[in-house]
Amino acid sequence: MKRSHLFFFGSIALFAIVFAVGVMVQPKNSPLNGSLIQPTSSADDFQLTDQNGNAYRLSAQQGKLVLLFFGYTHCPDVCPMTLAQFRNIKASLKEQAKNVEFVFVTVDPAQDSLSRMKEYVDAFDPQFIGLTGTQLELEQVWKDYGVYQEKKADGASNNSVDHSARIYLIDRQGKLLLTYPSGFETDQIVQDIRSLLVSSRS
Amino acid sequence: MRPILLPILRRLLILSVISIVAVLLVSELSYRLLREDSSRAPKTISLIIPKGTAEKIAQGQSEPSIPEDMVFVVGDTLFVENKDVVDHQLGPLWIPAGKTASLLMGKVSNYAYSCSFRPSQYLGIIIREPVTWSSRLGAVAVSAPPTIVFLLVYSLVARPIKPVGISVPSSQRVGRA
Repeated sequence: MKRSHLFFFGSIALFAIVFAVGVMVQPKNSPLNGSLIQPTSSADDFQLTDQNGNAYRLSAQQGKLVLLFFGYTHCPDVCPMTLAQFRNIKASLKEQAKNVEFVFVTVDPAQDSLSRMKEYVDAFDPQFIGLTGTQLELEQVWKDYGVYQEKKADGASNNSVDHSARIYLIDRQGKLLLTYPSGFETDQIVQDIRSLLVSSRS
Repeated sequence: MRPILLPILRRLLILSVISIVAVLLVSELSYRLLREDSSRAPKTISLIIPKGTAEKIAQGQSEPSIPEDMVFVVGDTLFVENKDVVDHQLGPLWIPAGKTASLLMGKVSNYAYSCSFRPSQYLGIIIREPVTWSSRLGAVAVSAPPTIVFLLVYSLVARPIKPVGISVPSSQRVGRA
């Protein structure tokens, strides 16, 4: 081999090595992005009333993924943001969204009547499920899902409720699998849902 | 290959080696000067919530020893095992009684979360970019090529390469009488 060729190929090889190192050090993705709960077990079942006045039982939704969020319709910040996020997730999933249920459970049954719930949920997406019930029924659900909720007694507004803001993902077998803290990236939730829909199909 | 290319390629090769060494030295020096807690590879950080924690907290007894702010690097996994009989929340994780929860710290950020371990109910989570061997090599890989190009252009301007083996016959030379 000529010396000129040696230099030529040597330079190319050196550049290739330098770039290859740069490509190889890219971080690798984990299979699931949300907070994984193990060992998995069936999500605590409940029966509440949806915004149309129909009974809604969680265990009857097996075969679909359920995204569950607890909030209230007068919430000024995290609840509308989360329902808007639900809407974005649904839009991203496109055809796959038919296998996912988006469920909003009230933490303020005193003010979230059926009509109020319907008006609120329908404003985001009429296919979303808005659930309410009696104080007793809801207290059990809140307890089962570790939901903190406390009415504010500051006198400024009687609508305000402090509450935990977490999304729960229940898989197609009815198992509570993942949770997402408030503000979690929409794309990462969509990625998890797609991954679970594909893996549970096989 | 044309005669002009040989000295250019030779210079390119020499400057490549010089550039990589120089970039490596600068990168290593700045790493030594600026390194912090995040100068480590991602790992799994495990915590156990002992049985009876909620009861102790309710009685005002000492909480488990968790710092006010937890520092992670991107790629770390926070793994928490809840041996207590009630659910707990630790920052972004909700851990039902008797279960474990884990979360991959996926991006650089600062969070303030509630924590059921603390009277203040507050926990800071700081996630930093990890500085590892691979990221340090990655920095060299990113900065070496422009350095090589810069040095090559500079050297060609400062010390132009004269074509080798092309001689001009004396009869064609133009000169002043």
